[in-house]
Amino acid sequence: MTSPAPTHPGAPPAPAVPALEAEFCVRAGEFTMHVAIRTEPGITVLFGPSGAGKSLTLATIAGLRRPDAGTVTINGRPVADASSGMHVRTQDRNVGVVFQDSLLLPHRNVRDNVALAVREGTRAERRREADRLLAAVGATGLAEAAPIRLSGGERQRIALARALAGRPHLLLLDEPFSALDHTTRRTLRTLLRDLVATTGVATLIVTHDLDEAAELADHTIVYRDATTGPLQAGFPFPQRPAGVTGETPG
Amino acid sequence: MDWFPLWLSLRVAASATVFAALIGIALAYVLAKGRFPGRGLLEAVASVPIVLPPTVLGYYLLVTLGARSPIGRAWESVFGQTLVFTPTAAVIAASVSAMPFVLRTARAAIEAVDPRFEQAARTIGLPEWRVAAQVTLPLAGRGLIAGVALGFARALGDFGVTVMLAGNIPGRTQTMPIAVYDAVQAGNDHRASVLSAVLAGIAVVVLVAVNRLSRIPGAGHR
Repeated sequence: MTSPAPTHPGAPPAPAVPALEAEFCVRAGEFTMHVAIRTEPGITVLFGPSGAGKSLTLATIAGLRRPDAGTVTINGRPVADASSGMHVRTQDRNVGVVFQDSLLLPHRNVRDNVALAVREGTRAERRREADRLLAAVGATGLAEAAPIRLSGGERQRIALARALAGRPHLLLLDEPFSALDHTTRRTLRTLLRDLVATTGVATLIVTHDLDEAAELADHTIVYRDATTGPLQAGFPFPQRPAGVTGETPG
Repeated sequence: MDWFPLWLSLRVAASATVFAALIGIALAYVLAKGRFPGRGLLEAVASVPIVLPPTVLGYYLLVTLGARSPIGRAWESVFGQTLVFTPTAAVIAASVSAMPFVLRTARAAIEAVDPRFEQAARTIGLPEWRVAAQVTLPLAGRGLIAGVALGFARALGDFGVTVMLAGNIPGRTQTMPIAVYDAVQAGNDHRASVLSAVLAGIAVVVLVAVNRLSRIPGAGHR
């Protein structure tokens, strides 16, 4: 096995300012988690067992909860600082979030769901932009549909389009494909890779699925003992058991 | 047969429902979402009309809005007539007795909305007022309509508060429930039975509508 490639071929060159620099503690009941993350371009996988605090990490970065200590900086702009109590609202952080459940608004059609997330332009412009995004996620034919009528995979495509509609500095995905069947999951991983490559948005994805982590990771942060490990290039675990590859160490 | 009380009741109840809905839903939102000092007190005060005997509530309103009160005098100087014992007073009476019913139902509906929808709406940049207007309230929609329907039924049926504040003036402030009482007092059994049947019929229709609205689960909350 060769040394892991430092970045995925599609990943853009490193900008001067990382999309995210975060070092904070959050308490959840008895448990205090310490997180230190500095993103590189491309997809960073937050990998760890269920209950390790990965979702809590994303919620804190998105501003849905406050850190108990430490700071969060997005695109060079401090958005949370526990020591001064500074807290920029989620609305003003310009992050795109995809949750495990798509959380599309059930009373609006697909196009409206995406158009609501487009931050600039007239109503007609926002709807055009929504249609462009729907095409980018392969959901052109669904614009008029009600979210309730869609399959789980279709809903997550729309959720991706919605998360990208605000042209976010940072895309956060919280186990986005874990409720989907195997085939759909694979298709959507490829779509996510393509979208990240085209838009160049720095992406953090939470998963506890080894295959998913291995397939998506340009970089990996592993959670253990309520602490994040260092940012590592590629995915640190062998994709197949060592015996299968037939390689010998050394 | 004189149907004036029916038309008056419907008009008064419709106007009162609009006021009770606006105030009740706004208060319900604030109480469901807000964390501020005095919240418990506001909640208690807003629910007082449910527990007070209607005549007592009507008496306090009469004292507050009567011709010698500051509000009553201000009203008279602007509109040239007293506020109490007018159809407007009947609307106020019905609004006050209906509002807590809208408030309680609406609050339960707003608290039942999955907060993750609101969080998702924040992540796409919607300001708080748009989260309320375009996410929370539409998702609570059925419960809000049920609350407004209950409020309408309460407004239509109010006796005690209305009779204290608006009086019993036939052809002016005599609403249906008061007309029923009046017919019984006058020994007009036929009139009493017809008016009662109409009022009971409207109440049953509203109740059925409320039950249907609250039984059907919200559409596709995922």
